Amino acid sequence: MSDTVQYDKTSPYYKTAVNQDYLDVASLPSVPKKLDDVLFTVNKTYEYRPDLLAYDLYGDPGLWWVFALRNPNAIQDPVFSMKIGTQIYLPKKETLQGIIS
Amino acid sequence: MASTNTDNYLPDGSSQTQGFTQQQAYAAPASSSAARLAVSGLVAGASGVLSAVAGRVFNFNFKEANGNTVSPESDWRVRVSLQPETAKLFYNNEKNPLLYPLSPTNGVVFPYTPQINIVHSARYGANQLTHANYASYFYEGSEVSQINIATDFTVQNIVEGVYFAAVIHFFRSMTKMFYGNSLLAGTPPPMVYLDGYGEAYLPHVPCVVTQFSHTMPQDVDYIEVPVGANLTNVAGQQINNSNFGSRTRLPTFSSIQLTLQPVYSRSNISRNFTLEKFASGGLIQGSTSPIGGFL
Repeated sequence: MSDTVQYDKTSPYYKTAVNQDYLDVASLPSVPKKLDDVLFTVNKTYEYRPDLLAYDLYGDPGLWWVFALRNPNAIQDPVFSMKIGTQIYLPKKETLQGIIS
Repeated sequence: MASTNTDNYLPDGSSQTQGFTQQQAYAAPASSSAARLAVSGLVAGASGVLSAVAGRVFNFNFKEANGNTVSPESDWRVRVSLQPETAKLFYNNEKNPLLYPLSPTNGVVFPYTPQINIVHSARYGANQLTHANYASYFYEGSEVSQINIATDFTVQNIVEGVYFAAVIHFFRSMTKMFYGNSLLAGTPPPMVYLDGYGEAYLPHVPCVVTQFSHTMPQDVDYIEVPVGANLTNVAGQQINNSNFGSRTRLPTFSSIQLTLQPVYSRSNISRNFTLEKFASGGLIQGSTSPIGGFL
């Protein structure tokens, strides 16, 4: 029986190879930029809470990482870069379905 | 026993039961998640929101340099309006969400400068005399012929679309008489008033709409507009939410042609018209007064 972990499709590590004892070099999914992505200014409700934002928008807190991958310049740290006033683009749910399916 | 008639179209619109359905108001968030999104101006799925695209390209109400809004009556743009009491049956009736977008401009204001053709004519009969080098002419009468207006409309956002849909439906309505179960049954189509460029040119001219046509081109895009939606209610809601408005597709660019016939009552002409008074401008002053409006 294999003792490697299979990450869920909604995990950023889903495509990263898993060796017996460790994760291989990260192979993160790319979140495409769409012209009609909504620009959102992080407010107090979602400060440091990408999981909460992902839950409210997509119904899955496991998608906390999509904001960092969609906004690589604005978000260096997926959690602590989500400060009040930070402007980020929000990928649409349909866009994500194409990535995680 | 006679059945109760519930379809009467009362002047205050209070029993207008068969009209266009008013759209539902802003729905209260059903969950804490929805509440957080609403506070943040977002919608589930990160879809676009109406408020983000409902920019007002068409300047509905002009503003003075000091920022005050110019009243529709002081606006120099060409406008087709109704007499105030009649307007309550149409665009000034809050229960008529289809035409109510015309209320802020108190009638139809043409966003782009229209082409207007006004012909004033004096009619002379010719008497061809025998063995004469010149014909003799005798005066028969004068008239102001039909006023032809042609203009363009663009629909680039929801606000413009809702306004344009109201314009089309307004002119459609102006070619119909009151009929059937209406309390005003038998009354001919309403009179409209034409204003524009100051009262020295179009002095609140009383007219009837004799023809209206809308050309829908085949080579432009058509965009979906929630006609009848209260935009202050749907801002922040997801686009294409079928709960709001009647989803209607309108051309992004189209033209309308309008034919108006100036009409003056016999008593008004008999009591007030003299050429001396007309020539001196006495019949165009006070554009909304009973004696104004002569072309």
